[in-house]
Amino acid sequence: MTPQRQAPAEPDSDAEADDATVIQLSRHEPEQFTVLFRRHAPHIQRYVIRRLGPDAADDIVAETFLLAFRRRDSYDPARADARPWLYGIATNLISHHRRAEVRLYRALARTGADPVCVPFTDRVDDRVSAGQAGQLIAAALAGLPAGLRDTLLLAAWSDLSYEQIALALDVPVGTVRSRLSRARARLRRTLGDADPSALAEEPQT
Amino acid sequence: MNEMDLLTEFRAEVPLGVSPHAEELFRAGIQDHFAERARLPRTRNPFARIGMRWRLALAAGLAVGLALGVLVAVQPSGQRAGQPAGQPSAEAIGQPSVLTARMLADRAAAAALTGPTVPAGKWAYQRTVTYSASPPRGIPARLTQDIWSTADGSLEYQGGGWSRNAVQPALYRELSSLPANPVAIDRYLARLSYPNANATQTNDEVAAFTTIEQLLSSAILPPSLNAELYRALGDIPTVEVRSHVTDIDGRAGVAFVLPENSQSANLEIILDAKDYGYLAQAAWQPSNGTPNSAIPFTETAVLHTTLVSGPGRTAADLAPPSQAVLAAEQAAIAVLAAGNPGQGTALTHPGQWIYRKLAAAGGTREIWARVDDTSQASYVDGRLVTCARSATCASGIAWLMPAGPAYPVVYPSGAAARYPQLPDDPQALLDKLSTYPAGCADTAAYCNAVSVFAHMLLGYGNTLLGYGNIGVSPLTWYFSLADVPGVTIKHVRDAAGRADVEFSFPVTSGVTGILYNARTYQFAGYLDNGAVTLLLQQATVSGPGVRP
Repeated sequence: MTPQRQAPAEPDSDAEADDATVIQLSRHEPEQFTVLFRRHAPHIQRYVIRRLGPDAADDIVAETFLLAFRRRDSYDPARADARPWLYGIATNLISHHRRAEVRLYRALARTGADPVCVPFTDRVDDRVSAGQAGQLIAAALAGLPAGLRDTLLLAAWSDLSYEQIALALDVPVGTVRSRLSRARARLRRTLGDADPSALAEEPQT
Repeated sequence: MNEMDLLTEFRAEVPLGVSPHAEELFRAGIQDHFAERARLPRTRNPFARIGMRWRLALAAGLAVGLALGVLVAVQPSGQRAGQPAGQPSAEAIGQPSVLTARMLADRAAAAALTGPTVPAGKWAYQRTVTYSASPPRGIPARLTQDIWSTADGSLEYQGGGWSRNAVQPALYRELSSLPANPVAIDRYLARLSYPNANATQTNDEVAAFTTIEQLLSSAILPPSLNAELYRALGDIPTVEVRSHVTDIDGRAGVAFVLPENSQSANLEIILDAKDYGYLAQAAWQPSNGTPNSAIPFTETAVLHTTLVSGPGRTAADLAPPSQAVLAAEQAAIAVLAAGNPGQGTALTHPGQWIYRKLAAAGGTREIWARVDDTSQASYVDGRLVTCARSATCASGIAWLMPAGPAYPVVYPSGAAARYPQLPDDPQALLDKLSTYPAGCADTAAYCNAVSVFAHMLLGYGNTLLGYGNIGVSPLTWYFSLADVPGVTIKHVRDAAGRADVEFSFPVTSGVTGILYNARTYQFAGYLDNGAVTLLLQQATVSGPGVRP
């Protein structure tokens, strides 16, 4: 089974309709909601895996879209882009697994091997090791309060604007800015006074 | 690079994509809500394998089952089952027709004689559509399938699923060896029905009809044999003709009908109304005894047949099968005959130690390695040295798997099993393996892929049966190798005195040949830059230094 070859051609009409229209349509034609899934699930899944690993991600991604589906009647049709809504639901679901998330960061910080990335190691000669920078980042993420971490990781990994992050987390946009600056400061502190660029490249052997 | 850039790179290996499992969970959740209304587009067909079995049950079961004297359980189809889009033939069976069975047989035979002669090992690609009034659970009533098979029907491939048809090649071979006259073929077909002398005329007729049906639908016969089979159909006493029928694809046809009897439903072979080419086979029952409301119980139509260069290929190719493709077929048949390699006995635990004895230019070597080749041990100056791939000693080790896909990609388990693996199509697999740099530049000749293949065959523990299994059938491997441009086949005797078949590749560096046992087609060794490495022995052991 090779999904690459069997993926159906995207109907052109999908490209026309924005998320709000699709959600409106899905109120009477539930199958329309799968358009939203096809459009956004790949990004949501990547985001969830990066925080919780592949084991938990399948359930959370499915649950994110099923919750959204059940709440589709209350979606604000003025918001053309549904991503803040979906990332918000996913972030709430991730918060139930806070301990598991922190455990994974700590394991990486301690051992240098990242359990999250093992299934995606493609080549036998690839290193599963995240490198020193990865270890330090994991240590910093493990020590962040949940609100700062949610904000920081949405900013780094989701392509949402500050305004959209504010929508997703249901906080004022000013809060997003202040959380981000605090989170970045703590990250910089953990990475040390040394020039972080020195940590960036692992020499290939 | 600031802290945000570092964070962006953190866990960037995680691919963009939704896992099939998450998608299934989502769809199942939605379907729970709208069990009746939601008709969701599926990006993947989870029933592909069941579908193949179902098709085989239809094609082979109906035919062979009957030939062996098994009564097919025909479900009454009187209730309103979803009609196929192309209306099934609904003409009254009793309606007098101008065409007699013999006349139709003669016309079909004349048309068949104009067909091409296709070697037994040539691959054909067929698209079929099967309609079933009462399909098994989970199978749609109307099922379109792409199927590749050899002309003699001995091997069948359907998107990663391989099967061997043991009955058909024998029929093909024996029928082909008969003198080309109708009497001999009739006699042969009559003998098929029952081994005992008590076979009734009905037994004989059903056996002959279903055998012919099977051969016409799934083999590409020599034209003269094809013609004789049509004449044999016309010779079956109770066979009738229905003119002006339509197959489930809506094509106008004319049909041979074996009327319902104590052993089978109405059986139909539908031919093209214009050129008498084969279109479809059907089995149906008049519902409530009123022939006009007849609904086919099941029908399989062949939408097109294309001669191609190998399994998985769709472009028309009329050339005779290459030596490499024929060798791959021999290999596939040997593997299928050996049972079900890679199931049950495959080594999936990556930590298991394997002992291997190799013969190379420098003499015999003993190597202990874990199944995933992440640790290796061997004797150096009389001392056992064990090294993990991640350790500093690793650079001094000749790894069995120096490059290529990581073991979890090859043999996924746990979380990795839910993410895309290696493709199961011969050409796609070759393309994928080419993306792993194995140190050679001749990418057009697939030399990276060939090297990776050879190393996996030797280096990954699930090849213990000698066939290899990379999450896709080992049969796909052989056809991938046969797809390498310019590959040739050599019959050689190796340094250990064994008769081998060599897939020899026209590449200038890396692995230039892969050796298989000439009888079992188990992996025997490879040639790397002219140097031969032979696998003499391998066995699981409890740890490094332990000999079996």
